[in-house]
Amino acid sequence: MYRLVVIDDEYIVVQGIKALISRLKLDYEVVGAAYDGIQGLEVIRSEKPDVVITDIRIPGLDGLSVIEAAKEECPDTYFIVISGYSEFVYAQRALTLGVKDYIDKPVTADKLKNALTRIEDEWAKTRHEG
Amino acid sequence: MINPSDGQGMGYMVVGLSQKLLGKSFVMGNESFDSSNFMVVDEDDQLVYFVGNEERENAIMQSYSNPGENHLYLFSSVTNSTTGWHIVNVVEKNEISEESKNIRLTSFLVAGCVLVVGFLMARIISRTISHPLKQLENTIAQVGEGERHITEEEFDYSEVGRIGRKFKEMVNTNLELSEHLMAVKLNEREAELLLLQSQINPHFLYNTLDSLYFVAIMHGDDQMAEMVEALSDNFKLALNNGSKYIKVADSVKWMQGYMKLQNMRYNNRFELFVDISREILQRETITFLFFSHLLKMLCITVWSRRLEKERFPFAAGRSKNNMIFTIEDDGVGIDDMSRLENGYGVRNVIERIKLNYGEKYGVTFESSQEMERR
Repeated sequence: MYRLVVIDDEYIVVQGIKALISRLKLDYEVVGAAYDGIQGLEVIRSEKPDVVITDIRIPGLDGLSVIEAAKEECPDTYFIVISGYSEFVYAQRALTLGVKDYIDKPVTADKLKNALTRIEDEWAKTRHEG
Repeated sequence: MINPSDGQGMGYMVVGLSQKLLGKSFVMGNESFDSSNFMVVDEDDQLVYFVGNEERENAIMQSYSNPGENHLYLFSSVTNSTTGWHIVNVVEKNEISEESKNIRLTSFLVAGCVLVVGFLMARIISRTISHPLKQLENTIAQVGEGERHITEEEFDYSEVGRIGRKFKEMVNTNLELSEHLMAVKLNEREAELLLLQSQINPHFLYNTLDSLYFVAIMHGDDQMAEMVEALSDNFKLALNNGSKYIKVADSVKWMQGYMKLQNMRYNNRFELFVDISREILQRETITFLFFSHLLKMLCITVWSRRLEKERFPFAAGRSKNNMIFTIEDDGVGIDDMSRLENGYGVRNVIERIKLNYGEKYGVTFESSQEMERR
């Protein structure tokens, strides 16, 4: 089971992603969730998850800054950002930060599944190489 | 010689004169008559001296002595009162009449020339007036027939030409103005549309729909999640970020979403077949509302009439630079075709196509439930 942390200021999105993950029967488990950037960074530090899914526009510390700060302590963590309808530019910047994938809103079962399986495939590849 | 005291002749004085000299003294200057002769005749009509055409001398003398019947010569004479001698100039009548003929001919010739030149001048002058008039008349007739842009007529700088120029200028300015008016009308329409789009608060709508989606997921209701997702996509495409143009691919996506929702409502009643090349899918059209309206209309008009499944083949083709979209239904048909064009949605669609792409584009409906659009 891969360990997953979800950061989004929308309660329903966080709960929804949790529900999606269990419903989709993926090899992931949500070990932590946060509704702002500062809390999110703390959760990442304490949980050291395999994957973090974060919204870009969140209070306290924005999603990209969370990634930047977390990267130093958890270099092996994969990041997926959720970008809004008109935040494509952010999403592109996120990719330069080493973000593995991005999901454009709305988060749906298909998009989430695609992003997570892609990461799984990548892990499988690196493990194979290693 | 005459004695001055008694007036009687007292003798003769003979004076020798060179005949040549005498002749010269008669003919002073050029009188231009070839047949001119001079003679001196004494009081008894006896020829004293003759200069001129010697061969005619006798004939001339004869006609001179019978003044009543001669017609050949014209005599003009001066009489010396002392001696009673005459100095006579003889000219052939023929030559004088010849001369007068020449005069007549010359006058006719001159008159003729003046007439011809006058006629030509009149023509030229009248042409410079009538030509621009004719041009002006033609131009006005053209405008009368609906021509709104005059390019071919070139007016000169005459007064009428200037009027023509002004007229042409006026008509062409009018064209510009009406084009301008058209553009303004178009912009107004688009502004109206954008206002409508912006009045719908999309983010609130999308966010709520997204929340609904998650709620459905959390409750394990996949069908509801699917519907909400389709509706969310549908709105997103319909509002199209407020932009005026949309890719054909996105229009197709919208139609598929719409069909999905309708099919959930009517239990898979409709089927949409899309046959559009990849090249056309990448092209842009004005916001696809025009497909959507047609599709909606088809669903509604067809719905109440049939119990079997409805199929809508949707295809696109190209002719030169135009795109032709056709959408059909296999329903029972529409009995009153004019009803189609009276609907607000369709009329608006047609109007927008015409405003955006020009008058020759539009929508045509065909009776066997076929629809064509360009």
